[in-house]
Amino acid sequence: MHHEKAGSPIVSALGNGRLQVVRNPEVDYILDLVLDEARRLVQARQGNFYLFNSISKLEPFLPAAASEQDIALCEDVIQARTSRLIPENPALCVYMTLQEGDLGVLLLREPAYFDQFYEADLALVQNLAATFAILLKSAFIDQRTPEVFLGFKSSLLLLLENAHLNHKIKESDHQLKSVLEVSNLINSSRELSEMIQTVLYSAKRVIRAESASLFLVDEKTGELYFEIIAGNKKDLKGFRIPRGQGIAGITAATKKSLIVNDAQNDARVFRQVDQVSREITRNILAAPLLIEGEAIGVIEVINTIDRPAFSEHDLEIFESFSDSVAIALQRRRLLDSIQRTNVQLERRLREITSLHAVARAQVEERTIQDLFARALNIVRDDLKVGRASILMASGSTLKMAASAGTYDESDATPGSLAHHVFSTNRPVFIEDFRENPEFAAMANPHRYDSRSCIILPLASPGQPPFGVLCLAEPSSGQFLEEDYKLLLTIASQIVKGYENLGLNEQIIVKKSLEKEMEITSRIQRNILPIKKPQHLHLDLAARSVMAKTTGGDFFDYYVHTPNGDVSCLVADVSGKSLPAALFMAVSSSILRTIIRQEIDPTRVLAQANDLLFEESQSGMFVTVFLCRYDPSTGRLRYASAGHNEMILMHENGNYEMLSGKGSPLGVLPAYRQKYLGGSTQVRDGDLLILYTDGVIEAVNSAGEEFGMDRLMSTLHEVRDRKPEEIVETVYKRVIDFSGSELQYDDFTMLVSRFFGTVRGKSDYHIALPARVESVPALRDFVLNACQRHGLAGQDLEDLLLVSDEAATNIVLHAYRKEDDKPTFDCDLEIEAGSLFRIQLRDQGIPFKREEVPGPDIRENMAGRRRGGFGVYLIKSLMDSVEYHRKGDTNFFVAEKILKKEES
Amino acid sequence: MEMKESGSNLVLYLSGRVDVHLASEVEAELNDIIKKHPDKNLVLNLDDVEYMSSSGLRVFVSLMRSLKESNRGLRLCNLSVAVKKVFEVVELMDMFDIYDSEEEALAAG
Repeated sequence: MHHEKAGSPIVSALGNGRLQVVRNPEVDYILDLVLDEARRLVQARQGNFYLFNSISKLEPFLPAAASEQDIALCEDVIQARTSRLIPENPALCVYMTLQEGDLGVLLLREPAYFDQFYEADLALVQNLAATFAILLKSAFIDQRTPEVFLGFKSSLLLLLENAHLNHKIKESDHQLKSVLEVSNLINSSRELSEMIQTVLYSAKRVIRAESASLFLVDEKTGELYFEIIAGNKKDLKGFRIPRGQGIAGITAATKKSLIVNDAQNDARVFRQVDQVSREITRNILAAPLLIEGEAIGVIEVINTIDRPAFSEHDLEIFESFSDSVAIALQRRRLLDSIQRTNVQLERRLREITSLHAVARAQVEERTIQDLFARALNIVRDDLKVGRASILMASGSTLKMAASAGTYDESDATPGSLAHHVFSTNRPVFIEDFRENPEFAAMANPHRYDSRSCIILPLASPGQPPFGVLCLAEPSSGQFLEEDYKLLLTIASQIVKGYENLGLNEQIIVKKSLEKEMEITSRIQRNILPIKKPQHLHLDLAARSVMAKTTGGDFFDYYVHTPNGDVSCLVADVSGKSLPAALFMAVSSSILRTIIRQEIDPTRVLAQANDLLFEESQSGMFVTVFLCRYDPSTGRLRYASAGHNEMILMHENGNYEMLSGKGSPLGVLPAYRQKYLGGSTQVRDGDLLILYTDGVIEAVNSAGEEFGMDRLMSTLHEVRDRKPEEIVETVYKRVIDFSGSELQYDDFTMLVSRFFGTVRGKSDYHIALPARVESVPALRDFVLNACQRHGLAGQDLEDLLLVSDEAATNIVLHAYRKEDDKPTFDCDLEIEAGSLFRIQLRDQGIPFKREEVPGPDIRENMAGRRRGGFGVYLIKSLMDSVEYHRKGDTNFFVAEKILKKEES
Repeated sequence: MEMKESGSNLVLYLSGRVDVHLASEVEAELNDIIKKHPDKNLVLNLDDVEYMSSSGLRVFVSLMRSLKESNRGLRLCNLSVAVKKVFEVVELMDMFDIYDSEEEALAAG
């Protein structure tokens, strides 16, 4: 599969210590992303990359935003090999480099909110640029596959996310600091309730009343409640007065001070107060506490001392107290809210810090185990979780993969809460086991001192979980909603990291497999002979196709002397990939060497076994079927080392199976090994088919094997075709059958068709009935034989005519009618470019050439003679013609010297 | 066998292999034709003859003899190289009236 855009490396070396980022739409997209992030980080309005082009010149990524001046600046930065912060006409120039060479410069201009950039800004962008460069480096080292590109992109997105989180932390940090300053300021003043108490005591004393009270408005109900009491009425603390009732209620509602001097008879007074305090309220002075026009409470002084009633003057003084109390209260509220904010901010900071840490772990950790360990440590240290663990699915059970804090095997046992989460793929958040009896039943109560736990499934979206994240023993004693939400986010970060690492690991595994495949197939290609053997007596074709997962087949052939003996073999090495390929190389060269020295195939195998047994420490072995053909005798000798039976198919479709005996080479030591083979007489046109088990063991989707029957019927069907076509047809059938590429085993097949000999008694032989129909049959026979040797043109026509004439003479003249089923024999010897020899034999009446007169047209015309042309033709067209009789047999032998062929 | 009358000539088109196996068939057919057309000269177009052995020669010789008896002519045309070679080897080229094309053969008589 090729991905056009990702087809070339992202970074390529220019050779002069400079690297070129090779631009394409995907790369531009990434550059855009990084640039945006850089601008955002330092709040710059302008940003640009200056990268080397193919001729090592700096070129702006965004030409529209570039200037000659900036290019010159960036060239300076490259020269100086260091980043720069330029205060006037402010700019940040970040030098981007890798060990392999310089990448270019990231230039930022026009700070949005300040007059210039700061050192901190430079550090931020340098950090981003460096990480980006490292990602590019991984793209530089690795190349070419779209998966790597994907991995690169996802790493980059993580990086940007990371930078974003980093930025957020800085913002929160700043906010927190200022709030803490304010709160410290307030905290440095006096303790508030104490202060209010002091104020109330002063009021009581100054106004000379029995007691003083502070009521606060409950914002939810509008009720007033006693907050601070100075005096005797401590019982009333927390006592509530309905909204708008009583003097305090009225004061709060009207926001006006009140004097009540006849409390006992005043209907407005809330009587129940007296019932609770068991005291009598005689008179009341009440003032509202106003903050920004709202009454947040009321202060009262009750019961004048040593005088009957409160005066207007008393009220005036009292109001000044109420102002102080109001201010004090306002401060307290402010402080409360600050503290709340403070807690929230602290929490948020903690969350973001831990998220950031987990995100960083995602980018930085190289193995899943490291990622888990680091994530759990973050959870434990930053989020103060006492016990955290990750359990991974292993079949249907869970296995401990990583833990921080104490771990108990019971978490992973079937029926545990973790199992429940894993099988339901639903998170469980238990604030208190006592409120969740059904979950409590699944957990070991001794393990959950805090009675609180969170267990989260780890799953890619839409997938079943691959594990669970278990958290228990929060330092605060109980997990809160916020903890739960945060841990959910962390869990999803862990999942992302897991996916990303998984992807990387897959890529690495795939890459190494591909590499190995490539090497293996290269070794195989180097071993296999390329040139078809040139041989008059055979036509040989072979093919070996490597399967996806293995590669151990090979074939070989060797012509010992021109047009003489030929050896050929197929072999199948056990094992897979590279080791198999190396063993294949060794066995192939050993066999090649021995074949050149030793004639007998069984002895070749025995010697090869001796050597390979020593070689094969890894227990690898190779099955071999070896043949040696001697065209001078037509003998085919063969031997097998643990290989299947091979096939010798005759022209009529009948066949014999060739088999030998002996273990594969490399299995048993010499003294325990004996190889047996056989030999057979090859007939003209016979087809030798050598193959490996990948041919018959190819499996279709139903698990069915291609099998011997399909092979035999295919061979039977195409046996007349040329060996190349036979091999191709079988290969195509196997592929069609298995419905795809070869998955499990190599396909190797060698097919050779044998033709007769020249030096022997007969290359071709045929016996035919002595009838006129046999004349065209003989001519076809000669034609086939001649064509096999590449004879054509005038020579061929002459030879056909001679054969015809000689046979014609026999069928017309040799036999008398009473002879029973007479026949004649024909032997041919052909050597292309050299000699054609035909011998016809019949047992008819003796033929006396010397008695046959020359052709005479006048005799013919006169009707005294018919024909007589044939013998003359033969004599004219052949170089030597001989007729003789031996016993009862007439011999006709004619030879023709053949023209030398160009090829 | 295909044939065509052209004035005093009868053109016959021989085809395939003319060897011993088919020679007697061809000979019988030709004899039949010349009997049915007793006043026609014969033009044999051998364009479609793939192959011819001396058995073919023998047929032509005997045909020429039969035609001569009734004072008729035999002309041959469109001989392939291989067929011509048979005539040449046996030195019969001069004995037969041989033409390159059917037109020339017809124009000759």
